[in-house]
Amino acid sequence: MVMNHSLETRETALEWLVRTNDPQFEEWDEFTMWLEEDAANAAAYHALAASEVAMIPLVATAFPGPKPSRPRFARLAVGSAAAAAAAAVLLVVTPHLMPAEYRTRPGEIRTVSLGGRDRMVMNGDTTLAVSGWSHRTVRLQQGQILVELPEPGPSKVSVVSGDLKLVDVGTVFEVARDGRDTRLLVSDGAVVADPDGARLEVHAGERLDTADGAEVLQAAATEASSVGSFQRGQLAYVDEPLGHVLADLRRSTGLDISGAEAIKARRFTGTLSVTQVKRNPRSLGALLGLSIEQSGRGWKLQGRV
Amino acid sequence: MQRQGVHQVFEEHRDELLRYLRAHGAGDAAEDVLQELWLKFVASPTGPIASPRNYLYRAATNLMIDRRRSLVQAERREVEWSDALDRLPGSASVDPGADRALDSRRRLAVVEAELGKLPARALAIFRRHRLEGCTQREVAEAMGLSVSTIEGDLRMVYSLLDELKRKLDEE
Repeated sequence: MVMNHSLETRETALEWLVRTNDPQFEEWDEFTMWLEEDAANAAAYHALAASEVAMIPLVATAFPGPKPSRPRFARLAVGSAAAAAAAAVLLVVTPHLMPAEYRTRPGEIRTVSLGGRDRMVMNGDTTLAVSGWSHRTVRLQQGQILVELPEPGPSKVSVVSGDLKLVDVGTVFEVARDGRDTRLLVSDGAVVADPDGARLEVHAGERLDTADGAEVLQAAATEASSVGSFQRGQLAYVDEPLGHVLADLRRSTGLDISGAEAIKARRFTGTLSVTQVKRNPRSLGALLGLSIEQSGRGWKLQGRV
Repeated sequence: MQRQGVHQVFEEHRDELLRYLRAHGAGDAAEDVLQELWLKFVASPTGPIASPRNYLYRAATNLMIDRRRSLVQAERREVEWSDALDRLPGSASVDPGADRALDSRRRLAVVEAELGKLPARALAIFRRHRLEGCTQREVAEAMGLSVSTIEGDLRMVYSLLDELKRKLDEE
C-alpha cells in the first residue's frame, strides 16, 4: 500500500516530524489541528515516522557512535561466585538488524520460537523486539516473558531489560519488566546478569530484583516452581511484594487492577487462578486479605479499614 | 505522584487526547488506544513528571506510530518470516537461516552506502538527537549551531531514511 502524498503535504509532514520528535515539543494543539485538516496529513506524517523508527536500528549499526550514550555502570556482584561465570560468558555479537516487534494485549499469551526447540512465552500486555543476526537478542520493553532454552547451542540468547543484560547458560527463566524494575527468576540452569560488568550468575532456584541504574546486583533464593506459572493460568508466589502481584494480574487478566500506594510493599504468599480472578475480580479482596472496590472500569485494592 | 493525582490528571486531558488520537486516524479504536494509554500512564515510572500533559501526548503519539506501523506491516505481510517464527515449538524451518543473514548484511551495506552520501554533520546531529536522546537545543549548543540548522539537517535525514526504507521494502 504505497500512498502518493503530494510533495507539499510530505514537506509539511516532515517539518512536523522534526518538531514533534524533539522532547521539548509542546505545541500539541497546533499539531492536532494540522492533523485534523486532512486525513492525508496524518497518513503522510505516519509514513515518515514509521520509516524513521524502522531505520533507527540500522543507522545505529551502520554508524556506531564513538561511545555508548551513557557510561556503563561498573556493577558489583554480591554473593555469588562471579568469577566462575567468566568462563561461561560467550561474546554475543548481535548487531540489531531489522528487529521484529512483538506485542500482546492484556490477557493474551503468545509463544514465539527462537529457533529449534528454544522458545519464549509472552504474557499479556508485553512489548518486545527480537533482533540480532539470528534473532537471538530479545529486548523486553515492558511485561513478562518465560524463556525456555532446552538445547544450549553455540549462539546464546540474550535478554535486555532496560540497562540490564541477561545471557543464558542453557536454561529456563522468567523476566518481568514494569516501569524501570526488572525481576528475573531462574528455574533451570543459570543466567549471567550483566555479562560485561558484574557477571552475576543467577542459578536455578534464585531470583534477581533490580532497577535501571542500580549499582549492585544481588541474587536471592526463590521458589523455582513459580517460574512461568503465568503460562498455566496460575500465579504462584512466595513472599512476593504486592506491587509485583498486581502488575502480573493486570498482564494476565487484562483487567485494570490497581492498589493503594500504602499496600504495595506488603507481601503475598499463595496461588492465584487467572480464570477465577477474571470471572470474579471481587474475590481478590478475600484472597489477598484486602478490601476491593470497583472504580470506573477498574478495580482498586486497599488496606482493610 | 499519588494515584489519585494520576487519575485526575488523566481525566483532565481525556477529551483532548481522544480528539488527538482520532486526528491520528485511530477511528473506532480511539477508546481502546486511550485505555492502553491509561495503563501505560499508571505503569509509568513514579516520581515527578515535569509535564504530565506533554508526557501523555508523547506516549499517545508513540502508541499511534506503533499502531499504524503494525497495521501497515500486517497488510503488507512484510514480516512474513516472523510469522514463521511464531509457529509452535517443534515445527520445522523456524530458523531465519543463512539467506536471511546474508540479506541482512546486504541491506546493511545499502544503508551504509546511502547514508554515507549525507553530510557528516547531518548524521552526527541525527545520532545525538535520536539515538542519544539530546534535545534539539542541546545539540545546537553542543555543536555551536542554530536550532533552525539542526531542524534543516534532520529534515534531510528523515527524508532520506524514508526513501531508503521504501527502496529496501521494494526489493
